[in-house]
Amino acid sequence: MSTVGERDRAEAGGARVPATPALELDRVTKRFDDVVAVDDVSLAVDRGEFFSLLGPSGCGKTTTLRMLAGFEEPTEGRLLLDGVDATQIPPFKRPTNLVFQNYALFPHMSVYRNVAFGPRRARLPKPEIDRRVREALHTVQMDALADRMPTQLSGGQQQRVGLARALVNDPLVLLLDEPLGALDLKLRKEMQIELKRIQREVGISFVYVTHDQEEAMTMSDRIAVMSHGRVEQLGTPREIYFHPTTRFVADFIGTANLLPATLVRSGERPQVRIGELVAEAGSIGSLPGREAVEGDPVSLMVRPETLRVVRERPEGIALPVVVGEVIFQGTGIRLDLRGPGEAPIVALVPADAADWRPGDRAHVQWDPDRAHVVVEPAS
Amino acid sequence: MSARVSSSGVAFGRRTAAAVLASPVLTLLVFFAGPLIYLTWVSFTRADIVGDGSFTFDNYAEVLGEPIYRSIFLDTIVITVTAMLILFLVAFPIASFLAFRAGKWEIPMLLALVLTDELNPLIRLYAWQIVMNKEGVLNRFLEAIGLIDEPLTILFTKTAVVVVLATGSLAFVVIPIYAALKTVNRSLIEAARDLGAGWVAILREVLLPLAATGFIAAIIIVFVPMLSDFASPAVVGGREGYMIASLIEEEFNARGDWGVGSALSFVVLAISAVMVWMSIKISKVGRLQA
Repeated sequence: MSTVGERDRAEAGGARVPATPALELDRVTKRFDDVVAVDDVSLAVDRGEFFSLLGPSGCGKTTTLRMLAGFEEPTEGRLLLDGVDATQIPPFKRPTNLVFQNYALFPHMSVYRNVAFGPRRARLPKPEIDRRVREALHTVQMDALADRMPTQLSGGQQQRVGLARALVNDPLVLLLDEPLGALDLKLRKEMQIELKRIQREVGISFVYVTHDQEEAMTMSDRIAVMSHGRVEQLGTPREIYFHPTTRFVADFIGTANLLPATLVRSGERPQVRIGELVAEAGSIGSLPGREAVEGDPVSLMVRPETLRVVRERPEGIALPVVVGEVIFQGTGIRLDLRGPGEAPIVALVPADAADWRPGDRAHVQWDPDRAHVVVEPAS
Repeated sequence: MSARVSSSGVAFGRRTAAAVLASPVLTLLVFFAGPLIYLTWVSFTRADIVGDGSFTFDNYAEVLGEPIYRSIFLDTIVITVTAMLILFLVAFPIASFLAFRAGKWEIPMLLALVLTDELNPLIRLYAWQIVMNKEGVLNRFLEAIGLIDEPLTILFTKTAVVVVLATGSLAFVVIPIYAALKTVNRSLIEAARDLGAGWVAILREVLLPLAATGFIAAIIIVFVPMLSDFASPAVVGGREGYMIASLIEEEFNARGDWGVGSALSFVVLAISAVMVWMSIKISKVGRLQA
């Protein structure tokens, strides 16, 4: 597992410079009465890093963010900001700022006054406040609308103001709680690119909460995938997409074909048995303490876009399938196939590929280097 | 076809609306506008016991010119505004508690608040008389704990009227402010905290401005009845806590000068109208900002 991680990081562009992380969670647990919302989470966010907490609703990502902001206190564990214990520091004294999903702009203040709220609380001199506010509004391209009231703005514009209002304080870490959740799809996509640009420009660490895996992939340097209050996997988008450590991660990120298999050989070039076939895979992922040995039930993960679908049985390893549904998606054709034992397999083929019809018999083949073994068996 | 159906529907709707509106409009005309027009006319005539009913501006000249009337007007405004300020000071913390902190006690506490207002106002007034009397509960208590040696004169002072007015309309002030605060999204308070605001700044910059509509509603609901309150000064005010409504009553009943009484009434009406107009203007500004 660790070898895979290192390889990917090297691909991503060199080793990371060891320095005090901007933010560190040290074995943090949060309980509400009997409910464990966050369960023994440890992670570190580097300076200038775009870090996402990704997971379905109820996975503890928002509670984690609220602890970072200071609105919730950890039941156990410590929170370090710039290497200093900040567990007990109240929100209004923390070097963190929050961008809210519902914007939370002050409705009785103009755009300018909203953005000036933080610097005014910090009792900065007037010219300094003005300079900072104008700069922040410029960064989010809202200079022209400084005198508007929030109700006169669209959702996207309001969130730009929300962002400026947080950025203007030059926080150590900017926290974003599903900031694009209330926007429509097209605007959301535009804002994702915009957010990434702004983050690069200001160089502040972002901690971004989202349930949208595509959004997390688009923007993040690293992602922590959460489930049931725990971090399931922490890594770059590539690591998480191609080398998920658990079935949950494989399933949650993108579309994954998880073929039930039995482990034949672990290690560098793992091998699994699928029915009568013995297939090789590029990598194997597992959690510490859950290392699989020969004979264990596992899943072979192949992504839909890595599958090749052909009519005639090809040479090498291939699974016989029957075409179920043929769905035209513009960028390609999605084939819903049934493999041996009725196992559902999804393939994404180019739009100009052969003319498939439901009921056609075919074979699927994949590049072993891009197949991955997940230790938990497919259910 | 469909157009005819809908147009006849509208005609039917109009006739029904007219029928429904007839009785309230008539009631208002006969029992509200009628007396008001009559009083307007009386205020411009010589209508004291020896008056001949001829047209005059003397009533208004007297009401606006005589120092004694002016001082009573001034007293009335001072008493009312003081009571209003005290009400706000008491009501705002109660309203914020109800809106943000009461939890499961929110509804029971609101009901209890409304219940206190259901108490008969006269019973409340006489209860206050007993409390504030020279030998009353309050003086006894203050003597017992050694704060005073001789009983204080509280009853029949301006203070007594202020206290009674300030405690009489609590629900009507708390509820509009509570309602305004209830619409304030919790995340606004969190945003303010996150941006470095302590509790004082949150109160000044966020809660008070956003509760402004509640304050203005409270002013409209409570100020006019307090300004023209008659029972409270009569029962606990005495000579010192004399208010304009008592004066009007005296002009009509004791002195029989309907002309001056009517003129006084219209001055009170004018003051009330100005106050309400100002409140609405401020609230419009507030709404534009919101």
